[in-house]
Amino acid sequence: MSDALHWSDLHLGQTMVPAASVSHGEFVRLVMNYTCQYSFMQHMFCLKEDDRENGWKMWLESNSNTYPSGTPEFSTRIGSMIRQRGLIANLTLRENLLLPFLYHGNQQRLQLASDEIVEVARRFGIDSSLDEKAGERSTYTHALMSLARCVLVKPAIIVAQEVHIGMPPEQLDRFRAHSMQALEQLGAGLLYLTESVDEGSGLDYARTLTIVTDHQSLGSAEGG
Amino acid sequence: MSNPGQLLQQMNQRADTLGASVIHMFYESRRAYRLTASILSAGLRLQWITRPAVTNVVFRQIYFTGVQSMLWIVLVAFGIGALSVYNIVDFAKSIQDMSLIGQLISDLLVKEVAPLVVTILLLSRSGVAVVTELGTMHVRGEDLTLSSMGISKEEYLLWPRLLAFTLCGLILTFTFVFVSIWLGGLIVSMSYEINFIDFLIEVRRGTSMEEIMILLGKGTLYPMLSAVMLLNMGCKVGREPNMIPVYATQGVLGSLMLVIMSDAVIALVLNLI
Repeated sequence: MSDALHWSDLHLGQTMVPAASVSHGEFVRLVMNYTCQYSFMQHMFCLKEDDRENGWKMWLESNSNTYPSGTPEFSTRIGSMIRQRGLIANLTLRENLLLPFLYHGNQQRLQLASDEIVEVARRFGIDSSLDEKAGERSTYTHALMSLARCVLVKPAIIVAQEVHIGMPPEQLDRFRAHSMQALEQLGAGLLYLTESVDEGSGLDYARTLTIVTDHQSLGSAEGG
Repeated sequence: MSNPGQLLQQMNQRADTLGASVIHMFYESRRAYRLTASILSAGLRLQWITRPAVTNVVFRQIYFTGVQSMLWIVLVAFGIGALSVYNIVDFAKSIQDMSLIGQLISDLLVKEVAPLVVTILLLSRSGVAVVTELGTMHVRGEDLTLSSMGISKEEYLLWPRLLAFTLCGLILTFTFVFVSIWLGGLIVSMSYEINFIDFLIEVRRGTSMEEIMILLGKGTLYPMLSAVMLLNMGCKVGREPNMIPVYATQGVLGSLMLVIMSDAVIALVLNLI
């Protein structure tokens, strides 16, 4: 597979994130403060209509096609695991997991996901609560649901944002094991946005890019 | 007596305040216009029909806004209909001109009262719910969750609410008119003020196609304007939970003002034509 997520020099307020890319199967960590992480994700998923035409600076290259950020084509190929943002409260857990398939209306993928959902939910220990309303849930459930959705969607690249932060130790251990297993199974690339290198994922990163907020962006280290 | 310097400073301050208010109004109008255009563009493309997730939200919204409001509308229509018809028939009898019945019912109940009362009922029942639900979703960051799945907020969240408000508003307005005239007429005919059949004949005689078109127009426009105002306020909440009640109140009051002003403008335009 030749999937890769790219971005050119990105100005997030006073901070500049230098151009970089994440290839299929590669784990990259981007260390920057929460405001920058949020702006980065906004640029990725919520571009304004005007910017979608020619203002995009992030794109996914997949099988010699280019998908600019902010477009549905881009978002459907990128999985997301955002801290405490894994659920829509007024839907059941099952509807939450199937939402991208129900929205995009691809019957074949919907059928496939519906067949897989019970097995995936059993694997993550959420099969008994699939038909419960999501409502207010713990950080662990949000993280688990995001991961389960990624397993169903099978994206080329996954973007995670501090998804391991704020869990009790035993849940963190369980989630770490689930996420490592799922990433290995999917073989997808991972971009991990975090404020600190001690983000608790336990993953072995190929690169860590540290963004300094004082008008400069420096620092790139090999390995985790 | 204040000196010219102080006077000038006061005038400058007032000019500043006025200018800031005008810029704010202009900004808000442009924001509302853009939001409305993007919702309509998402909805009128009709791609939502092929998306089960969106049609599901549309059905739920129609159920909450229309089906659950039906009983309230019927009860209010019954009360207002009985009172209006009784007073109109009584007035027509007192001046011995029964031909006024149809004209008055058409002018008051059909053209004015029905669209306004239905919109006010919709606002009081569902207005706060719309702003609160959207506001809570923004506070929870669910807009980012949706965008990260490639789901358009306009198509999935806003269009179903606008469609449900508009469609249910129109249907409920016609329901209100039928219930108020029929039940009002039945009640009044029981008190021997007028025979029910004669009453219906008078109503039919006083109602023209023009009045039905006005009812159609107002019954669509008022709920639609209200929905646009409510959605705009719901999207303005941002990440502050304590702003939800503020914008909910502003949304409902703003919608009421917008509807009443639109009613005045329509009356003025119809008088000029």
